[in-house]
This record gives sequence, structure tokens and C-alpha cells, in this order.
Amino acid sequence: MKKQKKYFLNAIDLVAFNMELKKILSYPLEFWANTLGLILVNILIPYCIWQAIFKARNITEMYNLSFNQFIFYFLCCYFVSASVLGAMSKGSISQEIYQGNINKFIIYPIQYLRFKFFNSLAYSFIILIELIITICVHKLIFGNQITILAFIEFLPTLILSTTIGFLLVANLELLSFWVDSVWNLQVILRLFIQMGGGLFLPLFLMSESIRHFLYFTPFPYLIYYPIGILTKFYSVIPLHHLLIIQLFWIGFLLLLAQSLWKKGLKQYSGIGI
Amino acid sequence: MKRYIILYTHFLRFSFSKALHFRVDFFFRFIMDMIYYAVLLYFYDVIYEQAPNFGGWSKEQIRLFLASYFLIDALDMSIFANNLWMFPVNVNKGDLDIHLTRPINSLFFLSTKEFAASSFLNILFTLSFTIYAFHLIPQKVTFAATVLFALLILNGLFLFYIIHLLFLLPVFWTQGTRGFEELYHVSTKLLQNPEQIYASPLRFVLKFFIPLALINSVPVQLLFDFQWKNLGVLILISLICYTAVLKLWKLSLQKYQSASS
Repeated sequence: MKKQKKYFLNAIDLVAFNMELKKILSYPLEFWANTLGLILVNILIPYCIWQAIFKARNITEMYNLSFNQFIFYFLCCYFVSASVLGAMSKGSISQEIYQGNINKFIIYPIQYLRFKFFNSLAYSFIILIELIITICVHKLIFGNQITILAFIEFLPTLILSTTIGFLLVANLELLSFWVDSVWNLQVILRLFIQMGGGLFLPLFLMSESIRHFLYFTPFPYLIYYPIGILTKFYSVIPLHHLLIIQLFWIGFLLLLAQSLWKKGLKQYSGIGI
Repeated sequence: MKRYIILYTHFLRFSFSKALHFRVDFFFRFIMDMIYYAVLLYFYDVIYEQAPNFGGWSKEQIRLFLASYFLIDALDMSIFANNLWMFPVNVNKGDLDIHLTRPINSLFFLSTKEFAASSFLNILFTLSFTIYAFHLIPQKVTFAATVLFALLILNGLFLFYIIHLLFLLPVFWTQGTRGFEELYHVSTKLLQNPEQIYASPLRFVLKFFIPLALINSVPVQLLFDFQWKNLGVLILISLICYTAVLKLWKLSLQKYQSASS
């Protein structure tokens, strides 16, 4: 029983989660203004762009998707990407390495990356609640076809894509042991996730060669496919295939992170740079 | 004025010497921006495949529109952005004190002390791209219109900085560590599209309240379709913004408590 607690979920995980949740909500005015503003702008921009395109072509459907479905796709994209990218803004791994602040984590009986992962889940949890509320409101107003079963199928894909997102960022931030600045790399990764994940454009609008290349990267499995599972707007790979691919990327990135962490610690001076 | 020019040359010297110590940052910042530009250009390529007359803009016009946005962004990243990123944290921790006691304009010092030398290459690249995009437009453009365009782009840069600052100044009241930084960043996405695609109420907001449309959309539009009314609005709103930010800065300093939050 003790062994299971150690490896599955323990009190420190919950502390890490709660701590970050309190931190996020500690300045309520900033939190609500940023949250509502982000949602509003992220609806407005795709709405205006796709309205201009639908108007210019004088059509009601494009690639078998109505205008409302397009907007709902981008709305879901915003939430899923926010959950996946949440770790980016909250992740302070590189800062802690640069400032020599990981010393305490080395001394304490805590797994550092695990602690950070539960930290980042706090933001993703808030996003999940926002997504559920949005789907319900959208269903009431526009009557979308999202079923409870589709949402249950979507949930594990979202959890796994959030985990992949965290590991991608963590691997990049662990490079801080060797490199003097990683925030540029983080922005590059963010752009790849947004473009390759279908946040800017649905993948079915991209050229065949780009799509083919993207299938060999983790990016489409972070946003585009999970939303496909949720909305059923376009054909995607079967759920079990998606889960297997996501688990493969988690395994690969986890091994890489552990290796970087071990090698980095040998390099780490303890006083920062 | 001379004192400020001398001071700024010192800032530049320090920044370039610091940048040479962080060569990886220098390299990756350039790569980062190139990828960012490529993503936006590809995005518009796909959009124009779907709608060749997007928002009433031709592909050549949209290329110049994007080029001017890239140029303003590169200038902002080099001159102001690095200084403003840490601004809310400095207010929150009470770290402004040392800057406020210096015998120069505190806003000038806080906004310009760090020049991002690693973004300097991007200025050169985006300037070349803007000139290239300018040459590709089929319409004949007069010399006067070209000069006006250059001046309006410069004005756009200052508006960009002012709007960023306006999103951060509420931190003096909220005492947070971020201000409305996230909201600002997401709002700047509105800059990436010509204002004509937005609905009328939003266009009104983007011209008169959060004048993002005046940064690059209206200047490019004036180049192709000059209207005194639009130029007048642009100058008037810019002047209001410059005055408002100075007044708000003074008001914010009165609210500043020096204490760490």
C-alpha cells in the first residue's frame, strides 16, 4: 500500500497542486481580467477571420464544416492549447536553475519534475473547468452535438496531451543546465505546438507534405486529434491509436527528461549563473 | 535632450557588450523571430488560397501590412519589450525606488535602459523585408506618401509601446505580479489582421479606445487610399494616447508604495 502511494499519488503532489492553485488565484482581479479577456479575444479573432473568408467565398460550408463549427473548433483549440501550454508560463524550472534555487529540491525527499508537474496541473485544472462551462453554454445557445460519451473519450486524451506538453517544456527548460537562455527555445516550441497542433489553422487546410511531416512529431496529438475526438467534426485516428501514440511520446520524453536531469545535476554548481 | 542621447548611447554600449556574453540567446532570438514570421506568412498563404480578396486586401498589400507589423514588432522587441517584461514584478517588489531617485525622467529610464541587442539582426531583416514588400506593390507610390508611411510606422512603434504600458500600469493598483500582460499579448494578435475584417463595433474600439488599428493597419491603408480624415484621426488619437500615458504615469507613481507585496 505504501509503495503504491509513493508511485501513484501522494500528499506532496496535492500540496504542489494546491500551492499553485492558490498562487494563480491570489490576485483575483488580474486573474479574471486575463481569463475573460483571453477567451474573448481568442473567440473574436477566428470569428472575424473566418467570417471574412466565408463572406468572400459566399459559402455556408467549407470542408463539410459550417461557420459555427469552425468557430467552435477554434474555441476548443484555445482551451486545449491553454491546458497544454499552461506549463510554459508557469514552469519556472529554468529560472530555478539559473538562480540556484533547485538546491532545496535536491535536499528534500521530493522528485523535482513530479513536483513541477503537479504545479502545472493546477492551471490545466482551471482551464478544464472553463472548457466544461464553455461547452455547456455553447450547447445551450447553439446546440452543439457534443455528447457525454465524446467528452469521456476526450478527457484521457486531454490529460495525456497536457502531460506531453509539460514534458516538452520540462526537457527544454532542463537545457538551462548547459545553455544560458532558453526562453527563445520555449517561444519556438510554443509556435510549433500552436501551428502543428492546429491552433492557427486546422490541419486539413494545410498541404499534404506538411501534414505528413507533422504526423511524425508530437504536435498534432496535442490539440488537433483530441478535439477531433471531442467534436467529431473531421476524421481522426481511432481513440486507442491516439492514446498509444500519446503514451509513446510520454515514455520517450520522460526518459529524455530523466536523462537530462541526471546529467544536468552533475553539471550543476548550486550557485546558479 | 543631449544628456538623454548620451545616456542612450551608454545603454546601447552596455547592451551590446552584454549580448556578446550570451551568444546562444543572440542566435536563438533571431531563429525564433524568423519562425514566427514564417508561421504568419504561411498562415496568410493558406488564407489567400481560400479567399483571394481577404478583407478587401490584395496579397501584395497584405504582405506589406505583415512586413510593417514585423518591423514594428522587431523595433519594439529591441527597444522597449525587455524593459517592460519585468515592470510589474519591479512594482510588486518595490524595486522601482532606485530608478525614481535618479536625476532623469524615470519613465524614460525604465522603458529604455535595456536595449535587446540580440534582436538587432531582426530589425535589419524586417526593414529589408518591408522595403522588398514595398517594391512588390503594383500601385505607384509617391515620395511624399513613402515618407508619411515611414513616419506613421514610427508613430505605430510608440503607440505599440504606450498600449503595452497602459496594460501594465494598473499593477500599481492591483499590486499583482503580472498586470494585464497576458491580456496585452493576446490583444496584439488583433494587430496581425487588417482592421477591415473586424465588425464595426470592434473597429471603433480598435481605432478610438485601444488604438491597435492605428499601429499598422491604418498606415498601410493610407498608403493605398489616402484620406485626410483617417490621417487626422490617427494623429489626434496618438496625441491623446501620449498625453494620457504621461498623466497616468504620474498618477501611478502617487499610488506607488515602495513596499514589497
